Amino acid sequence: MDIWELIILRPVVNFLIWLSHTLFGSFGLAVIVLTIIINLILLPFTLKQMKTSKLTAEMQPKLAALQKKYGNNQQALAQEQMKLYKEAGISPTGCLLPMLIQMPIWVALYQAIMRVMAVSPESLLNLSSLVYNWDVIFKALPLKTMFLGLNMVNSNFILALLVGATMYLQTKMTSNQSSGNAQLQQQTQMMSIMMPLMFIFMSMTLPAGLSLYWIINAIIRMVMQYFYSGWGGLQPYVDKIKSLLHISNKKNNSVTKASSDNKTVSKK
Amino acid sequence: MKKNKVLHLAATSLLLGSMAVAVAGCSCNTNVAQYGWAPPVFDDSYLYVASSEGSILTLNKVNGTLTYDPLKVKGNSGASGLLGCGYGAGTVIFYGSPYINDGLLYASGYDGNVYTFDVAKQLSNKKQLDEDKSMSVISGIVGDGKNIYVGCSDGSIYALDNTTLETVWSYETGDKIWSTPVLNNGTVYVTSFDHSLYALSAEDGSLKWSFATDGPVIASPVLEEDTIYVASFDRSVYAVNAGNGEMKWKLSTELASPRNWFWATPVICGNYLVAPNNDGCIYSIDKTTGKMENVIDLEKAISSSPVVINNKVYVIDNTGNLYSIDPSNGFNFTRIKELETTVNSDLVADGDLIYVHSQKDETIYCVNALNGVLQWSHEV
Repeated sequence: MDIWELIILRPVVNFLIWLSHTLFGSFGLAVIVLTIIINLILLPFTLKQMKTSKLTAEMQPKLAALQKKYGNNQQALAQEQMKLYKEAGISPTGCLLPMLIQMPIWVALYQAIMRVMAVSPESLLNLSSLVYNWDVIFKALPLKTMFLGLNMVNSNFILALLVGATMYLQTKMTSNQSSGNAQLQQQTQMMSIMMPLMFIFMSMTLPAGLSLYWIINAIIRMVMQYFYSGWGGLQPYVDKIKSLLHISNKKNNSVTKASSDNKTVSKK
Repeated sequence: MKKNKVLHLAATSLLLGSMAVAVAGCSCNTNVAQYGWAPPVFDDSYLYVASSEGSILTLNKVNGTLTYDPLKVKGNSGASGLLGCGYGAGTVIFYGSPYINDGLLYASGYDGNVYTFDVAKQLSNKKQLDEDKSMSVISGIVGDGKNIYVGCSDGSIYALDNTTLETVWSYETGDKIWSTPVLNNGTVYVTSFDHSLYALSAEDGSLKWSFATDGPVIASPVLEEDTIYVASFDRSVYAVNAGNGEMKWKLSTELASPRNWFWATPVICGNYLVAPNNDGCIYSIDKTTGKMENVIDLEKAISSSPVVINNKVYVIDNTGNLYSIDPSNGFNFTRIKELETTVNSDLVADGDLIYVHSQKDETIYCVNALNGVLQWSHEV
């Protein structure tokens, strides 16, 4: 057994099995709860990452101005950029460390879900090498993979579409932070379309348990993003919905008022 | 500007494409590629092998040469999707032990079909067990000359007419059936993931009795005279009265406690029930009392069922080390062959010869049990 399996994968696999057993034998519920727990554990890193992203985005106009000013002098440009980063109190590699810490945990969670679902006979056999010698683990296996009428082992078209939708909203929400740099904005816009498409494609071929994990993860990220920096790139859509609701409310009020006026007239 | 846009699109597609490949690759590693592990079967002259590429091979038992062209099986669909790691669409993977009767070979496919083959005439027929076509068949097949009996992942055991493959009866258990049924004297014994062992009438599928263990059961039951033995995922072994389903004993763990699943089917050798475990140990149990008499730690998981030749037990671990164990000589054990390959398939004995179907490198090995000499091997 390699070090990855021993230190990271095995604990996550066994915790997921124990969680399924504790949550009424529901694997789907266990995936949701484990995704929430891991997001909570990684919250400090995520917040740091969000802060750095936000500050970097805010600096984009200044960086663009510097690029214009020192376009040909790369050395001076780099020096000025470093100065700017220092003044803002951020390290250019500030996003990297939290990402490096989070990455193995996300990969472990992803692998654990795949392993615990034990789609094929080989996977189930393989799972036996990962489980702890605990009564509760042996009683729980193999897990019941039905959740809300869906078999978490098979791919599911509706869940695949939901993955795409939540991914799109999540990337859209963070997209306005790169305003000020047209090239970056263009790239972000492209990502916000390509990324969900890629995940829809993958969800249609991989087990639904993974789709569930991606959906919950995207929702949690959106909630965190909302509390940190508001609706972000979704703000125009939110405003539009609000104004539509406002108009319909106004219409309803005026209709109610008109009908009550009519009643008053007829009474007279 | 337009050129820039195209470049961006290309770069983003490349980045996302490589991410998709990485995730898919990750899923391959974590979800484990499928090879199947059907053990070979034999008649007087030939050895029949269901390959992981969906072919039935007929090998000469003496020298392992191919006798007929491999019969390619056309299944419903591939066992894995576009990003899966198995074989292409239409490839059938076989796990269960096939059955031969009257010149016909019966095999159960992972695509949910039961197939019949007339290898010499290059003919095949098939029958879908699960009507929803979503359930696989992992179980092996047994027969009584009139019907064949096979378990399905839809939780039912099916009795099919030998010639027409029409369903004669089916009995639904509470969960998947992966084990090969055992047939004796008009009774079909089968184990299920629902923790239970069932005794059913071979005639009409009516339930005679059932016996519940504390865990799912994948190993086939083992019958000797009036006792049926069952090894469970609950890390225990049970002896049950074959007539009425009453428990005779449960494994006593004073000597040692098994640390993992009993996946492989145990064998009886003399006065002992020899049960390999996924924890890498071979547990030898007194078949009349249930007392554990001996433990041999081979240190590698064992998912293949052993065979008994000349009062010795032959067992192979999942890295291809073949051992002989002599219960009559203080459980003395010797490694007789190192095949250096992955083996999950049950061993098959024919006289003094042992046939091993390895996975991944997909080879059939014929080893002489008396001296460990490799007689021949054939790469499938």
